[in-house]
Order: sequence, then C-alpha cells, then structure tokens
Amino acid sequence: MEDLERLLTDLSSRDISIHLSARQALIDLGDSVVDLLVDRLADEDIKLVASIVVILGEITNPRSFQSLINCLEHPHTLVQMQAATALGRFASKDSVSKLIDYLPHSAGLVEQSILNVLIKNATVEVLPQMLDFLHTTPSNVARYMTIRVLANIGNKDLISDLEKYLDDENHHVRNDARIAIDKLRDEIESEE
Amino acid sequence: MNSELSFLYIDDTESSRKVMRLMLTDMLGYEDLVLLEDSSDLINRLDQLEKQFRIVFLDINVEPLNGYDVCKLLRQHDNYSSARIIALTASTRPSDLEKMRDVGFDGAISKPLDLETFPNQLQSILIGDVLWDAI
Repeated sequence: MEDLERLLTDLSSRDISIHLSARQALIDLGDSVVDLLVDRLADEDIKLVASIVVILGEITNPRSFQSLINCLEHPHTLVQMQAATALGRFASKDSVSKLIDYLPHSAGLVEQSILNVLIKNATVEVLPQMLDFLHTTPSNVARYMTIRVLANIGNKDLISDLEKYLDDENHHVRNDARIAIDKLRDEIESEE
Repeated sequence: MNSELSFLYIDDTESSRKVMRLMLTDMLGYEDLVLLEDSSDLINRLDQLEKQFRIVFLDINVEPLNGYDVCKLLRQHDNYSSARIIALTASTRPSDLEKMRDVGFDGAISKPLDLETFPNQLQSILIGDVLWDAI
C-alpha cells in the first residue's frame, strides 16, 4: 500500500520523468489498482485526477466505466477532456452512445475531445444523432470534426447531406466536406 | 527537472492555445508559459518580455509570418538560437518535414495535441531527443 501511495504522490510530481514513471507503473499494475484509483477520483488535486483518468483509460476495466462517465461532468475542463479520451479507449458501443449523449457540450474543448473519439469509433448506429448534430451545431470546429466522423462511418447515403457543406462559410468545413465526399465516392466505386 | 522552464507557444487558434495551457500548466505544472495568437512584430514583442524561452512550440500555419519564417527568425536571434523549437502541424508529408528540418526546427508534433502522448513527447523534448517520428 505504501508503494501505491508513493506512486500516487509521484503522479503529481513536477518532474515529468517521475510523473511518467508513476503513470506507467500504475498502468502496469492494471486491474488490481482500479478500485483504489476510482476512489481517488474525488481528490481535489486536478493533476492527480486527470492522471488517474488517463490510467483508467489505459486499463479499461469495466469497474471504472461509470466513474469515467461521471468525470465528463467534472468541474475542470481538463478532467472532462481526459475522460472523453479515456472512454474512447473502451471502444465499445456503450462508450460511444454515452459520449454522444454529451453532445452538444458547453465547453468547446470537451466537445472536440468527444468528437475525436467518435472519429475513430463511431459506427452506423449513431448516424442520425451525428447528422442532427452536424446540421445544428454553431461551431465551425465541431462541424468539420463531425464531417470527419461521418466520413469514417462511411455510409454512401451521406453524400447528399455532405454536399450542403461544400459552400460552408468556413474553409476547413468546405475542405473536409470535399475530402469526405471523395472518400465515400471512392468506396462506392470500389464496391462496384 | 528545472521547474523554471519558460515556454512559448504561438498559434492563432484559441482552442489550441487553451489545450496547450491545460496540458503544460494544469496537467504538468509548468506555469511559465507565454501564449501568442500571431507572429506579428514578433521579435519586438519577445524582447519586451525579457525572457529566454527554453522551449518554443510553433503552429506551422501561424500568420502573418508562417511557422517556417518564424523559426528562421528565432534562429538568427541570440536569445533563441539554442532554444528547442517544435512545430505543431497536421502535415505528415516528407517534403514538409524536410523543410522543417532545413529551417531549424528540432521536431514536430501532431495537431491537435494528443492528451495522452503529449507528456511523453515533452519528456523527449526536454532531454534533447528529436521528434521527427512523432507524427
């Protein structure tokens, strides 16, 4: 137990090498420390909490899942962002659907963290919610990131929806819409 | 580890600057961080700060001087000629990486910052490793 406490203390170290060593050591301990780490999510030290979230995301033990969901509502933006990323590591339909429930998010950075996860993990089941979000979000960043999500879901019926964004006011959105449409058309051609 | 390290980050995207502050300051405890939103009148602005930045992170698409030109400018200045200058870029084209090396960058990191790998990248930067395979 003393060793674990030392590792937790080292997570908050200002020495980055000590911080990273402690982080890896706790990841290596895996499932055996999950309950301890979950308990420490209530700590006031933001650096410690954010680090624990990263570790739980590496371990991906189901016992930490709900606690990571709760971290999406943590008072500190960094913890929310890390929680979204950690949940993405579970790479499950459950984690994807939970993350989508937090869109739109009042904190743009958290919204972007969620979308980053969805770019890698979203599947066709979440298409309606993603389209709805695309059509309603006022954020340029969220718009082009959602287009990337849709491109990776890869449904050819999306082309007509995406064409509306070829003359978007934002050049990143226009560019990503073009890339997405080309990708979907390539996929259609390769199937034929 | 030197807790008085000075960092400079130049990026015209507000969310990118916020993420850098969250990671460097809130997460990793480095409080001496200066954020600039553009590269206009850069040397005069930096001289007024009277700091010797140890690490400079630079968005390659910053304006009015782009990241390549800013790097060249910094390398000509006594205060920054030996700083570690790292490009932030979404480009992985070999020609772009070659150009970054040629103008004096010490490495490149992908944009957006990866919250999980950035501490490892920073550690590499601080111990003097190159980061050309990090993107």
